[in-house]
Amino acid sequence: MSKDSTAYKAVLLAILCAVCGLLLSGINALTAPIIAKNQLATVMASLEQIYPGGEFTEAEFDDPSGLIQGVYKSPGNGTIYKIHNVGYNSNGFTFMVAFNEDGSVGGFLPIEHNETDGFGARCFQDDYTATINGLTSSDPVPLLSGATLTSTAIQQGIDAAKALFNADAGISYDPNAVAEPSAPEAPKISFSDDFANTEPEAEEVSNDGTTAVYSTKAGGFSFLNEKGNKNEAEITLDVPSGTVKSVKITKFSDTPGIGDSATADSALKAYEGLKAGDSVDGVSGATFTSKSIAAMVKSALDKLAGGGTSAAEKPAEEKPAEETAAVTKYPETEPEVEEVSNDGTTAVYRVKTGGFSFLNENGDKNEAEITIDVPSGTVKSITVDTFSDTAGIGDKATAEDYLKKFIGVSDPEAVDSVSGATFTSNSVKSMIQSVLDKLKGLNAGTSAAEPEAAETTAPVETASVSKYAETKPEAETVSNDGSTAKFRTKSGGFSFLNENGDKNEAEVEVDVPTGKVKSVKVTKFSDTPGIGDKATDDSWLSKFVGVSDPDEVDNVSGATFTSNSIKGMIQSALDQVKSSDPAAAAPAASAPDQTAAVPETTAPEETKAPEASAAPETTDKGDSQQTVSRFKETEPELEEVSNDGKTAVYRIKSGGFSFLNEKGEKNEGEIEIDVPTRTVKSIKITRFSDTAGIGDKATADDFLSKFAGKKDADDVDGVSGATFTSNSVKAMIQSSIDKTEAPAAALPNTEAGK
Amino acid sequence: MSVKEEKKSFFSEMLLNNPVFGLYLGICSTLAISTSLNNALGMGVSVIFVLVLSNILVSLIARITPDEIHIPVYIVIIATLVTLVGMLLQAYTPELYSTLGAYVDLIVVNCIILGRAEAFACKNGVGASAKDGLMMGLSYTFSLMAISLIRQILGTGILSMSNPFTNAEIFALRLIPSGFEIPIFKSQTGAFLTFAILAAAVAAYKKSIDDKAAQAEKEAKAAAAKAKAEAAKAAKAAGAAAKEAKA
Repeated sequence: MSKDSTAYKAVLLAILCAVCGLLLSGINALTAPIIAKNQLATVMASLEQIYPGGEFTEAEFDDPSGLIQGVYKSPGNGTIYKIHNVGYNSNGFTFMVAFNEDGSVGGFLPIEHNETDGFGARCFQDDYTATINGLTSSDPVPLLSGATLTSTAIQQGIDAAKALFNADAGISYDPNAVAEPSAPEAPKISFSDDFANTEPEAEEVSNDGTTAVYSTKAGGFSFLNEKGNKNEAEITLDVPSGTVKSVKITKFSDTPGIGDSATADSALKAYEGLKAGDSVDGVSGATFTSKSIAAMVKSALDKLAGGGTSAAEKPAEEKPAEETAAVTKYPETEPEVEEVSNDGTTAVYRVKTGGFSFLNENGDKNEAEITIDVPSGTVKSITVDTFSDTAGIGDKATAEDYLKKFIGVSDPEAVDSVSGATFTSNSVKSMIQSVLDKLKGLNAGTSAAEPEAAETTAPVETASVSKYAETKPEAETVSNDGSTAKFRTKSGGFSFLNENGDKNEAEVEVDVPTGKVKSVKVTKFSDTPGIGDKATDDSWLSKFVGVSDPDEVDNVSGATFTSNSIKGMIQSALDQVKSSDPAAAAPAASAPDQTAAVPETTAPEETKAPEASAAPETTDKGDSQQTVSRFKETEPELEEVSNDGKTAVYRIKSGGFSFLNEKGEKNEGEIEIDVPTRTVKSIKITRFSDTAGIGDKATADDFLSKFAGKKDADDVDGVSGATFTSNSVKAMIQSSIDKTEAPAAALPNTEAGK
Repeated sequence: MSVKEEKKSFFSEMLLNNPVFGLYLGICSTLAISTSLNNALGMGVSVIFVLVLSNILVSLIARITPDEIHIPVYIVIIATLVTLVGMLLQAYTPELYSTLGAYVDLIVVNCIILGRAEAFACKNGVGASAKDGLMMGLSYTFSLMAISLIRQILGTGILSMSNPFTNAEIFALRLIPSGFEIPIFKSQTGAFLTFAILAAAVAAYKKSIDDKAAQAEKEAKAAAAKAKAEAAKAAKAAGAAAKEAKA
């Protein structure tokens, strides 16, 4: 064989590789057991550091986060978790955290890390380890400023361990709780301190002998360091006891985002009940502002002590002052109200109030249009049209889902402010308050009589059709001669639900006495041609003729959205027939609910309201046919794992976004149902097939835990932004509940007959 | 050559033909693991082991290896040796292995090893190759120790050594009081600084030797020229004398 031939080269390399491979496998056989022993010894040494002299057994675990490398149980001591996560250094770090059997942290031990000295490495030094060692398995893990990446990684790791440990030990906790930012170093401020450098000023606003109100000023960070403005506050004192009743900041001049942590409601509450000479915990990180507030409180207390005689002199002056205070709850926002229209039932106002920009930087006010239901004095709608505060911060309080919370509310204080957007929240509340005040001023006497009417009208808009609510169906009666009713209907399909496009429209004829469909004609098709229009084909539409429940007809595959849109239209037309003629509804499928509604339906217009309130009962009474079909498009597949008469366990699959839109996989879950009460005991998602980071909001524990004890999946609101997955989860739950009911239905179902 | 001269040439060889400071080879691992004397020694011994064996094997196999496949052949040999070292370190010196980490495996791509196989071992006999490997390995270890000595002392204030097999401390000397150490020397920045300063010093030494050699050469040349001139002068004088004598 020539030295230059290919065969020679191949043979040479092959022999070389074979020899090397043999050699290595020999060495490996020799060293592998020693290496394994060494690794075990290192782990054991670490474990011993946490629980000296303990016995350890390695436990099986299922960690969805993938951060946990090992779980070691030490009987009588607790459980140790070995965790690896990446912080600043891309190699990551390894540490152990132990939970004692009572849930307290039994140890926090760094195994290996290469984080930067003075920064990330501080997370493995005494101060921070001491903090971790003082926690329990239900506490949130605090972050370390200056070592955010490292401490976040530690937090994630410990959170994963907490989840495992708490699930194991049956400890319930709030996995989304956030640690208070480093409270331990809160400055202690005593009222006997000298606050002369803050140059406090106090002026008595009113004093009736029992309550005194002071308007005070004192310098904070801005004043002391930058010769800026002072902070201002209104301080109410209880005169006989000489204690603080309340502190309200009327002007905040220090650094937003830093000093304002001392002006948060919770921080101000700390002053309540204090008297001269007491001390108070300041807010760490906002020492200057805390001192400024303390100085103001002290100046008010001093003023009261020094000018106590004035109490007797001024009782007459006090009353009007308090009244004005009540009317304008948010005077600092300087609300301006203008009535646009008021027809006695609905009033529209245009309002301006100052938010962050106005109060702190002399900027513009926010503006909004507010509609009020006059008889009940509740909010019907709010639209903010000019937003003048910081975008990205204040606008959290002008987001639609926040504004929605005020609907039906008669006191804006009933709605919590948006954290991080306090100023804008208050501006919004002020708008509402000022409008309500204005309204009260106009018809103070008339409103008392009819508050109940409002309660029933409010839910009507949202709850009239529950089955295809997401398609937002609208039905308009064209004609109704008692035997045939003709409706013009609209309902959203693919285009509307996914791209905010137009709804589909159709004309639906219903036979009134039987409540069955006579004809369906699509008049406007707004979805994707060639796909959705399979569901507008006459051959499919004709299947609905003679049907009283659109779910009796199967969807057109590949055109699920349009199919549902059309079913939504039909359902809304059928609902309209039922509500306008309760007698005709009797033979229809959902008879029991309707009969329940009958006694209350005296006038046709009012029927909507009781029907709406009866809607949730439908499920209670066990009309399983209807409830299952509620989430039919997710095609739930159910398998009973066990059912001992008390608890039933189901393994279930149900389609979410991925399944419905991309023909992907279904989500899978395990659900436990309490059989006697037919309520949910627990839910576990075993497989998540939708988009990570979007859909998984609806598989988070905190969302799933909301279903516990519920009888109807719709009792829990879906997660916004994860509607498909929410519905998939709800479908799992609903079909499990329905299935549970089935065997036991024979007996308790008599209730439905009533 | 006397023993003294040989000793001198060994050290100047180590310095002047130093792969790290002279040829700037294998700097990656040098900078990464030169944080302590222990690491330096561990890495150095590993490299010496791989280098000597690879040089021996390459020089043995060189004659039967066709040129086209010599790189894969050498790489297979080197990789086998490195994997072997890695396993042994992991088994018997787990502490050292965990600090050296990936750099043990990276010996495979250490330029010194492939460089010596290519430049020396494949052209020379087994004995010479083994000697070359040992020399180069020692030079590498020497450089590594020089850098790590400076970095460990300045960075941690402590010079320490421990037994890699039992992890027992052999000695630990605090040379800089705590609080006065310079942590930057523990980081990569410190590695670069130390390396640059040492490399500059070696370069300066090299230059001074070269200068001296050049000077000596110049002097020798000048002396030769002088001698020539004198000879010519003498010849001239002799010629003149002869002429005179003739006359």
